[in-house]
Amino acid sequence: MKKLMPLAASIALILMASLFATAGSMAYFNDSETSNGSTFTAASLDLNVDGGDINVVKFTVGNMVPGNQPKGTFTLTNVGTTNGFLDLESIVVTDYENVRIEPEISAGDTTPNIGELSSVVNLRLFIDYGCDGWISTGDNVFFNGKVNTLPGNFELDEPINAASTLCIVALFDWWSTPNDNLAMTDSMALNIGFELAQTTGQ
Amino acid sequence: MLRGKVKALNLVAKAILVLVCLVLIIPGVIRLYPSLVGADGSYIVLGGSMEPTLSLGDLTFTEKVETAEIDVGDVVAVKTDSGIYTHRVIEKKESDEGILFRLKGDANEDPDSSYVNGSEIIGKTSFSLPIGYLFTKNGYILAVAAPLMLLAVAQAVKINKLYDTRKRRRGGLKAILLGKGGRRRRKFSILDTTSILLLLILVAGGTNMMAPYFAVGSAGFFTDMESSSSNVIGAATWRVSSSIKCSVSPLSITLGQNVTISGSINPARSAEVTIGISNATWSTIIKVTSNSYGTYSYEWKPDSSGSYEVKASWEGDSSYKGASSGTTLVVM
Repeated sequence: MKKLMPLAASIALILMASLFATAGSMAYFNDSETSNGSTFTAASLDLNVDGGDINVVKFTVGNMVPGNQPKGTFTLTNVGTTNGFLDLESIVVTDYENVRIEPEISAGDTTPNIGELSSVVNLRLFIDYGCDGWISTGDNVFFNGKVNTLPGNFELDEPINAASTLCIVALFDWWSTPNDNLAMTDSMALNIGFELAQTTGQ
Repeated sequence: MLRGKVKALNLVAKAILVLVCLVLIIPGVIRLYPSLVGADGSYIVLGGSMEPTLSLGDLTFTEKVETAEIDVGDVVAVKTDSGIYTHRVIEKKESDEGILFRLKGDANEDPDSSYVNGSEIIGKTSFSLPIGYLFTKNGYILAVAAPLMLLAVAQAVKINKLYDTRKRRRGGLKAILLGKGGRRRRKFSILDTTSILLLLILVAGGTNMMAPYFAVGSAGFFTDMESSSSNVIGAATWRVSSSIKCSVSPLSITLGQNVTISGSINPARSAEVTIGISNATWSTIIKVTSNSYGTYSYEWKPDSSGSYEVKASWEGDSSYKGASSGTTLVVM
């Protein structure tokens, strides 16, 4: 019995060492193999819009009239190796009066320098999970209102996992309104920033 | 002579082990007690957004400073609702709410989207220890894989020696690997200095590597911003509906009397107005021009008795569609 004591002690020692080694190994291998982004993540985060890192001009509509419905899909891809959360930031709408022609004036357009297009055109922004360009069951319509009521940002916190793609559709509708004539020849510029961040609440 | 060399080698090996031990233990201790090195806080870097300045797993130490003392270029730790992160100051500006800072991760393409108030800054990163090295392959081998192997081999050799009770002396390779044998060692300890050092390395290495999983504060996050600007939507022009009025006075006349046909275009404009007069057998078209107020007027003297229908219309222009008035009946 006495002879077995050193053996038992040695095995106990190695077991104890293995325990800490396993803890370290788990930490090491978890870190290098997964990229779940939850606690501890190596690697990168990189968002592409429509396949690139450069500014995307989605809408160049020149002759919109009541009844038109221009639509565009932003294809957002997380080409990094870390999961991220999407927010829309720095949304700016600028109205341009351009020229003020007679029908606008007679319709009551009293502002020679401020356009009215954004107050008559409706916009729906939605996360298009099927990427089909249409609002289907389950799609998340996070804005539906006149363009001039767009907030400056949307804290969507919508996850885009590494190597995944998310489609966001902007759907303009110019439904006839009594004020349509005010917006004749007007134009509006829309800027949207897409921010992918590793944590929510940025 | 040989014995002396072995002894010296043994000492060097032990010194290396002690050094590794200290390198692993010291960061762990000062992480828990940052005041030992004069720092106010310590954080483990949990993201790679500050590469290459700070790597994943590195230990950073912060010192509290006055907001005014923080300058562009400083690396600061910020406390937000979602945790703590460490980024570099790239802009400093005064505002009504105090001094605001814009931060950016060195590895990020873009600055963080929102400004950080001076009150949210925990402190300036005074220095960092690159223990993120542990999470590389070499670090893992040094702190975990190699010590465990060494420990296992050392113990196996000892146990073999302990239970090798044969008196026969060994020679050749066996003697090198397993000792010469021939006598039973009496003084024998399983837990010798080398084993203790190896065990300490494993404990410290394992604990350090697990630490990020239990860390409360994170330090650093990735963010990437892309834009879609210069989207322009322009409205066209289209022709708007207009109206034209037509009245006749008087509505009932006798032969030789004139009637006045008058009215106006809305919106007011000078344009050609077509007045149509007809009865059952006869009709005529008269063209007049409205004045800039949109009004027009025409004197007409019927030749024969009967009832006449009178109406006016205009063709429209580039902004307005044309319009027709209702019909008025005149009796003579």
